[in-house]
Amino acid sequence: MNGLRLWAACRIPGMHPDISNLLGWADGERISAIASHLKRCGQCRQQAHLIADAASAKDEVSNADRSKEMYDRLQIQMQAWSCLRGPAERGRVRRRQQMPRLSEALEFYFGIELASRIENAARWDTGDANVIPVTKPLFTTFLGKRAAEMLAQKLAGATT
Amino acid sequence: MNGLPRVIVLSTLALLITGLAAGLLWWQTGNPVWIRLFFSYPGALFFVGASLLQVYLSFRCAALFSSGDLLRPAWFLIAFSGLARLAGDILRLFGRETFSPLFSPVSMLSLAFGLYRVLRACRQNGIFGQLRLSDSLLIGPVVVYTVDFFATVVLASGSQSATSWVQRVLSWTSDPLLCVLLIQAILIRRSVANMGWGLIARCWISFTAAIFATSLGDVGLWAWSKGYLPPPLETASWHVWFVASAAFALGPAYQLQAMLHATVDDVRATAEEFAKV
Repeated sequence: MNGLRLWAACRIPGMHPDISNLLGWADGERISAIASHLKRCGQCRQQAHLIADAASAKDEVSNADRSKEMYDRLQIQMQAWSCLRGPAERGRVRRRQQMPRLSEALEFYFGIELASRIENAARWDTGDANVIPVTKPLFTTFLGKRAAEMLAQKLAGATT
Repeated sequence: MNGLPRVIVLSTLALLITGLAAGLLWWQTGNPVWIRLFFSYPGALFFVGASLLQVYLSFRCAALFSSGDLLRPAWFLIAFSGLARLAGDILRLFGRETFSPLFSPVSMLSLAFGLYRVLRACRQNGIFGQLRLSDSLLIGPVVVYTVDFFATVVLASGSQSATSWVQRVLSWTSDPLLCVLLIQAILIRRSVANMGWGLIARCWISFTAAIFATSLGDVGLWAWSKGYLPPPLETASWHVWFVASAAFALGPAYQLQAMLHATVDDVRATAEEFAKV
């Protein structure tokens, strides 16, 4: 399926490669289909450069902490978002204890399957501060800016 | 907090049980007065009440979104769609049957634009679902019905009626619009069913259910006019419209519940705020 999408991204205007392909490209994985798409798609080129910049910044010693946080957040976001599509894996739908507040909020507003997917993808051990910005766009879209900000404040307040 | 969606579900159940009783009385006595009374009074009032509730709750949801929010225009369009349905229901209540069907395409068009914005939001958030082969089982009958309607009513010669051409053309758009809405509803269902059963998911699943019920009611009317339905199913198909109406009101009720829960800190304050609805 991914191969088909890559093939389409090379030939059909408006089709773009999957975010996981851009992550792979940033990690040094060179696929000709991606390279040819990036040559003519400014939007994907910009995204790929952002990912690559974050990845290379991670290795710089001077900004180690900030870059690592930025990279982790970006990677969580990519992983969480790319895993939202497709049918749920029933066996993986379970509640975990590391991030109960955010997980509960996701479950309450969206459902247990989405909460579980984000939880599985976003490795909670990286910390609450990284995960709240990942889920905020979902809340902002479906509940509105005002409600999402208040909810994020409540969640951040509850976990600090 | 959970009050309003539950009230909507329970009142719909009560109405359906009353309708079932009226249908049984009609079947046992052979006197249609019971079923006529049911549809003329509690039934008609339920349609108006549900539409009114949909309009009010949708406008409240739209007002709680800030300007620039992705779904704010969608909620205004949904509210406008409810407003058009309400106008049609009120005209029908007062016996203006000629004009009431004109509001149906306006309502559907507005809803289709609103749902298009919802699908765009799903796409932007990476939760956009895909149509599957099994979906054609749902879309197929509605498409067949639409094609049959066009072949037998619109394209057939001598189909001139007493109504004006504007009314005729507007009434023709209802079925193609219903096909579009059904495809949108299936896509939304495919997108949000992946999430589970949270309040937001329930809101959009309610709209999906409302559109499914509308399609079922429309196909039921078509099958009835062709004499394909046995009498018990015929009566049951009339009741599907109540489910559709209730589901249209249930969607914004869940959305408002979610938004109030997120914005109001205190549980008691949330309950008080919700009691105002």
